[in-house]
Amino acid sequence: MARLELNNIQKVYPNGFVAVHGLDIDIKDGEFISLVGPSGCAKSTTLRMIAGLEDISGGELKIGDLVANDLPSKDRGIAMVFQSYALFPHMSVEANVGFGLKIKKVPLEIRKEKIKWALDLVDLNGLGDRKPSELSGGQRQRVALARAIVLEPQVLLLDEPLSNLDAKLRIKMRVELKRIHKKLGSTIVYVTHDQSEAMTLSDRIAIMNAGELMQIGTPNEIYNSPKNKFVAGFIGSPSMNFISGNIVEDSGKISFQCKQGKINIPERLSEKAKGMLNKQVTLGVRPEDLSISIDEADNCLAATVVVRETLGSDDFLAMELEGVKDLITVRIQPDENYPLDKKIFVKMDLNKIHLFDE
Amino acid sequence: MLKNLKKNSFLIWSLAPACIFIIGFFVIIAFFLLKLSLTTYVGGMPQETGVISNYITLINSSAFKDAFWRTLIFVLTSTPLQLITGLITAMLINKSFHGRGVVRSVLLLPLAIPTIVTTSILVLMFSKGGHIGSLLTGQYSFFPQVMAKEISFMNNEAFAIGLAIFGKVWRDTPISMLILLAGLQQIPQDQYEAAETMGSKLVQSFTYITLPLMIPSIASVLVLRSVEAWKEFIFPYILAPSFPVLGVLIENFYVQQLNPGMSAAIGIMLIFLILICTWVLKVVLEAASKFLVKV
Repeated sequence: MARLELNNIQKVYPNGFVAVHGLDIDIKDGEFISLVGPSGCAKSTTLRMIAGLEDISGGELKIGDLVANDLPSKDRGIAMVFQSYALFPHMSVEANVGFGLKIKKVPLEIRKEKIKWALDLVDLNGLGDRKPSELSGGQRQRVALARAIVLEPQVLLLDEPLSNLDAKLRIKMRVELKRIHKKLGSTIVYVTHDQSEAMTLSDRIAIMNAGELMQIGTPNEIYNSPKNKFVAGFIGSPSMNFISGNIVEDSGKISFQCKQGKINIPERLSEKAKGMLNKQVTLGVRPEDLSISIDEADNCLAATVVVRETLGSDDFLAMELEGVKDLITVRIQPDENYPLDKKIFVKMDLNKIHLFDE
Repeated sequence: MLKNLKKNSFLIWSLAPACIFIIGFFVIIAFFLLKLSLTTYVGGMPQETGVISNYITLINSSAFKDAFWRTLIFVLTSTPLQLITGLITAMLINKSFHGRGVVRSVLLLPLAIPTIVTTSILVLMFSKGGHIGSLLTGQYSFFPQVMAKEISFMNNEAFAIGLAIFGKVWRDTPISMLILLAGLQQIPQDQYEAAETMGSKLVQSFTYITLPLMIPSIASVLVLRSVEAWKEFIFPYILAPSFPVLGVLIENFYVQQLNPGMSAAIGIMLIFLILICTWVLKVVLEAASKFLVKV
């Protein structure tokens, strides 16, 4: 296991396109970190640079105490699980798992022991003789994982390993991954576009957009204190509601003014809000931090219920704020009932609102 | 029964051409070939039918034995050579580089040249008084004299058969290349990347990933090319006329000695040789593929 440092890592393609703009991430020994972002944000490119499958155009990559920029993949002490699993279709499960050991010329006896250990760890004992084509998607994913673990890498790299599984299996494998990480204590870099996977699995999350690091922090930090509108909108399901407006000051009181009403800015955000005075800003609030009021009150916005989504444990109301076409989402308890298409009021938990530059 | 026939009439009609083809071009021809091989001829006239004397004569004849060994050498040399040249050229054009289209067209060119032109060029170069002989004996001012007396390449058995093998490999490499290229393109890039992260070097990736995944394509090349080599006629006929292989021997008996019975007997023996060779290839390839995917 090792510490992994990305210092000002850049990727520039021969045609001049800059895919990664100076990435700084310091990953602690044994940490599970996720690189999250939408398609094309260069998270996989970053992972491939760590793996040695892509050249690093600038900056410094350190694995342990070693500068790894120009090291071949095999000397970096990494192992990688690919999105497509990249299992060798002509080899049995055992041969797949033992491939790296065979290449390293590990004696057959030790190789067999290690293969057994890895297959036990991923709960695949007894399936060693099968070919990948005879396995289910989940089992193939486990073989890919065992093939990486068996090499006892310093850093384990996982490139969207669950994206080809169905929703139920994905949740099961999430737990499995967490269990394996706990057992091995390895440093893991996990690439995903699924924010819920990142939230549930990671010690820390690095959110990327267009080749830039937007924010890095624990899942709680990212969820509760997003640095910008992109992070706020990307993390959380359903995503955060955004309302456009202005910051105004009225007899010493700072508030957020929009077409539908006025929201007092809490003490917590007053410093930030002062810097945004008379500017166009976005107020962000998560669906669970909104509640419904039949009567008009302070810090409420008028809206009408358009659709109710029932999930069982929670229900969500899609509401249209007056004069705005975009819908906002409010989480309610399943036993709460509100009339459709009638004017009611949305109330905010002021301690949970966020302000972002437009 | 009639109901079933009616129900499957489309299937029957669509299979009919294939059945007619097999009966017409295989069963009937094989039957008459066998019958012909069991008929003796003297002076172009049939004598006895239903006797195996043609086969006995052949087995005892030194011409047949010589032709068999020459053919075997032709098969054992030209088949692996075509596999190797096909694999190298396929791997070359499987890589992405500037001007790949032009290189691919150039590599396919030998197929477009009629065989008679290819063989004629080789004859012009290597026959007595040909360009290579003249070059080596210093008859061209731009090249120093290497030997005093001209070698008669086409009268030397090893040279003549070697020339026929060279011509055959040069002309048919594009076929192997195309079959192997199709196989190579089936292998996803991430297999190599996964192997690379596990420390696999180029040679190891080739041995453990490319080769076993290419076994079906390699088998196609080996079977098709070896069958072709067993029954090869035109290259040895023109380039090594004094050293006949089995294919040329068939022509010798049929046209020059007016003995179609002997030709048919060689044809039948060729069929069995091809079957045995294909079976050996199958066994070897299965063993190789098992060896390459071991834990």
